Amino acid sequence: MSQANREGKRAARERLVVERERQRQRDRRRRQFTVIGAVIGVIIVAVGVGLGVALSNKSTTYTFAAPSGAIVDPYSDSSGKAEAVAYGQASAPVTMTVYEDMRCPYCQMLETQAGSMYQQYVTSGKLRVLYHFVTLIDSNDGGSGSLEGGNAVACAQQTGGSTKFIDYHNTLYTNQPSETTDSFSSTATLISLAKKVNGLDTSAFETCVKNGTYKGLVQQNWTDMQKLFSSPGTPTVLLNGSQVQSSTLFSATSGTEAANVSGLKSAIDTAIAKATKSSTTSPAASSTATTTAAGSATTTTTGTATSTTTK
Amino acid sequence: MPWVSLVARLGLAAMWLYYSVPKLGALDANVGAVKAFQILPSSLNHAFGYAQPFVEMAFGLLLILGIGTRLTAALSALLLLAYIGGIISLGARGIAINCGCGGIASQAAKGHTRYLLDVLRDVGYLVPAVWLLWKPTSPLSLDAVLLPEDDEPAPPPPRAAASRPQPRTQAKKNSTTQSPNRTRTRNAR
Repeated sequence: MSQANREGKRAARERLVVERERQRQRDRRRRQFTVIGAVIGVIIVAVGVGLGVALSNKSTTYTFAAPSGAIVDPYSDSSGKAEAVAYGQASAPVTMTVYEDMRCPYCQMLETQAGSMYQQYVTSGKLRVLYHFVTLIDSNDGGSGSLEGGNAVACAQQTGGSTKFIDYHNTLYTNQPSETTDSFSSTATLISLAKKVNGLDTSAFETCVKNGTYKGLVQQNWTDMQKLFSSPGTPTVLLNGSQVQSSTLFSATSGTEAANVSGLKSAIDTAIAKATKSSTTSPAASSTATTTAAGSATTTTTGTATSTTTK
Repeated sequence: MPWVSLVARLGLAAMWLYYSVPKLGALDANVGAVKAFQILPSSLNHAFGYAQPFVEMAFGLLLILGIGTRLTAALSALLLLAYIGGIISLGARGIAINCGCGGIASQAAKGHTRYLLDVLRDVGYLVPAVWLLWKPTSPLSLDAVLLPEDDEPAPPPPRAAASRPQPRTQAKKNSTTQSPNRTRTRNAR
């Protein structure tokens, strides 16, 4: 009897222990699932936050507007929109189409080193430049400096005219940040740089920069450039519609790349000679030619360009 | 050993935070870096570039808290393997970018690409991840509180234990909840 009783008690105790152990394991498993659930939950939330930010930051499409003095580029604008900012006289024998990005370091190289050279041809009435501002770097590296910068130069064209446009354009390239520093995305930076151009920083200009009036123009240019070139790169330069080779734009001498100023100059000379079928192609010979608004611009910009150090 | 795991855990956490925090400040630039790898379809670059830093930061925080360490270590290792694969494929396809690891990718001159170093670095980061897969238990972690004796199978049922000498000798390490149970088993005998 007592033996059986002891056995019974022992069995009960063991059952209790087994039950307790089961309970413990159940608890543990539950906690394990909670932990796994928490980890997965945290990661899902992280992905969700990222995608939420991505959606809210998705680039907006702006309405197209063209500043006064923008024209349809006869050599490249398939859209038929006046999306090229023209600099120079319409009577110039050669049209130079330039696709550039205000953030792009190679554009800076070309503009700060060869800018004063080709802009002299504009002064002498031999060349008309059609600027297309695109957002290649924004698209590659992210950010909005190309878009804001392109908008700002268009604003300068609209509110200050050709002279202030080219002066501001050159000023931005002289003060271009490094490619990955997107300081042109700040309208305050763009406005403070406008103070370097006499008379440009008006309230109309500031409003235009802040409102992004011509962002649609920049976007249109980028859209069209991507249609036009299979792998668009900046700067892309056309002379009367035929593309200038990059070796003509840049010379790579033992690792240090620089703008090929003489190469571009002779390409322009050739184009002028072909267009006018005359031999007087030196810009020095025609420097006494009538000076338009562009002329005074060039004198101011020459100073800016020459003071620039090579990148 | 648990202290090695602690170092591995905090080291891996530091790695994730070190790389994710700057990316969070430059999400668009990160999209650019993702694009430069030319691996994902273009429609996914944007989403991946935005989500990736947040996921990396989540890994870092989970590791610091020490919650679900083994799972987080496994996911960390998978992500690192994906990165290593990405870098190797860049080298194989001859795409010259400045690796883009840790944020900014820009086209770099050929001499600047150092894929081998980048791969070795990422393999180095795999070491703590793999260690944690093996030994996830470490002090100062939520796991230690919620799931003591995480890297052991469940103890044998007490009936078997009663008939045999205790097979588990290292079970004591962290098991504060387990010990009273076991002593009671012994007392009952």
